[in-house]
Amino acid sequence: MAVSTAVRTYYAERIFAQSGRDEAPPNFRPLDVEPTGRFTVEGCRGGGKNVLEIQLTGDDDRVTDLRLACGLCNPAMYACADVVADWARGRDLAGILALDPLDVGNLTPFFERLGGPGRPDDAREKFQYVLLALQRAVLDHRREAAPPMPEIGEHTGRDLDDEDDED
Amino acid sequence: MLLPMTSGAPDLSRFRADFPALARLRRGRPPIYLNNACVTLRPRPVVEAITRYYEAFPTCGGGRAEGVRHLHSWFGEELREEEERAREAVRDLLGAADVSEIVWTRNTTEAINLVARGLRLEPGDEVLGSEGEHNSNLVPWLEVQRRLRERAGDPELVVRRFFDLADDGGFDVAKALAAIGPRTRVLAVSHASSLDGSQVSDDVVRALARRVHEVGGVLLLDAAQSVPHRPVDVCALGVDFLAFSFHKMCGPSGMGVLYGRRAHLDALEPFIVGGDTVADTWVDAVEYKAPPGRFEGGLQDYAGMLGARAAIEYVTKTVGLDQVRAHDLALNAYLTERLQPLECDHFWLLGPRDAAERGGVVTMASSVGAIVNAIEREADERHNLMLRKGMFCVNAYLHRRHDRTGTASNNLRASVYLYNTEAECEVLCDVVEQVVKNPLDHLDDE
Repeated sequence: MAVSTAVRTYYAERIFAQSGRDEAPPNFRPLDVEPTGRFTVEGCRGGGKNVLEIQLTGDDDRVTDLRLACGLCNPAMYACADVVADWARGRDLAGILALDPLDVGNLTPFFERLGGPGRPDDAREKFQYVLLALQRAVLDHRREAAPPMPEIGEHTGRDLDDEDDED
Repeated sequence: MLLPMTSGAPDLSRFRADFPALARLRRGRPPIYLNNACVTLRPRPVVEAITRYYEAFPTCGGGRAEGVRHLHSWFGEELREEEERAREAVRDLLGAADVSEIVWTRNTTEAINLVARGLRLEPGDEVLGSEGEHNSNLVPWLEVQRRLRERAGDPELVVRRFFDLADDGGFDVAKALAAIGPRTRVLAVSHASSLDGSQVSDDVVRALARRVHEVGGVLLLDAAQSVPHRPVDVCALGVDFLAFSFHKMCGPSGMGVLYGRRAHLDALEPFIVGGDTVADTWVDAVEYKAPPGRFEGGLQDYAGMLGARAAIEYVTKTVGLDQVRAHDLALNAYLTERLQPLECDHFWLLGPRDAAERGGVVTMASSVGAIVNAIEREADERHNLMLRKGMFCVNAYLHRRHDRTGTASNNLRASVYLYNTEAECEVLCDVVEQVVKNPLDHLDDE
């Protein structure tokens, strides 16, 4: 299935252009210190594995830093993980845990950070994977048990705004 | 339409008709199978040999104590003869001194586990390997380490040590020799790398054997990627143990071999015990068979033994290992010549630059998973071309070398065998070229 224009543009400029043989985009470089929380999610559709690991450091209140490791991820996973990492760095733990990623209305700030056009559904799917994984990494940091990952709807390849219009 | 060979490889195309899987079609096209470092296809003689067991003498070949023929059974006797001939074929393949040095196992992994569990290692002993060992030659030793740590009450106890490979991933004999010390009980190394095909020369193996013997240790060779591709003579090499699997040389799945010098097998503790491993038992005691019987617990895979012998005959006699070797190298030279010029910040080849040092393997790596996914997808969907993606069971090395840049799992391996052609390699190179030159045109949501 084709990659949305928004994901393609973000990926080309922020991920691909910063990747090299001895270089990874800043959010995909390892932490310099041992992480205090981590979680791995497999957002697998088709042939890519999309295994994303989130590692973070934090204190009692905030995420002080976080990094990502992507195993054979597709462009949407890379782009969405990068957006979420920038959003979460320095953010208060309670705020991260309070977010309901399954409510598409809560994803608006992330779509805005991704850039347009529209609200592509391939990004919606991966934002949900990444945010749910982030919450579980935060719970791991707080040494709290994490609930199982909920089912996330496979993306339609369309734009959420187009679907709204059809209604 | 397959093109004529131009790479100088021996023309082995006549053998393609022996492989039923190559006659299959999907979307009107035949398969292009380049995942041979994992599992090869099987020729008809091997399939027929396996079937022959089930059709001709589908019975038990055991029930006989060492040296005592108390099995009087038409099918059983025929099966025993077949088993012996199969073991003799392995002995001849490896140049072993005696059939008692050949132990049937399920695969290389089980063979190495047998040695790891059977040696009487003590806290303070060390097992040495390279940083690039396959999980089958790493995890069994880490498990030994875990047990000895518990026994010694020392969670920091180091049993399994490693030495670095060369910068290009090739074997560094100087580092290996320097790492062998007075506490080295086992040197367990790959004869050829599962990751990039890097070869360890026979001269190097002999030097390693001499050095490890000087300190009273043994040399175990993980030959899973070498025995199917080149002549291996255990006596000439001076190895103490050698393990390989038949599924990488046209043979059946679930069949492997542990070669062990008889004196070492005699000293090895049994691994899986029970039926057929014993000369006799009493209610409170057991007398084990001599090797190899003591290591072959339970009803054996007799069909697999027949298939193994057929595979050996096919690869070494029908085709010829020298021919296989020359064919591998010629095709890899072609692949390397086409793919190396495509290297850039987002795409490169792993392992030594010289194709001749990588056998029949060429492994591509990328800074982004999307390129690897695109090559794999387009090869499969457009050309039925099968590759292997990921970490190839060499996770530890890839994590150590490539986690920093996030590229540890972005690898794609192409590996050739006797039935592959230059035309098939050309298809792969064309796909890679299209993707690497315009990667952003090939993004997909996989």
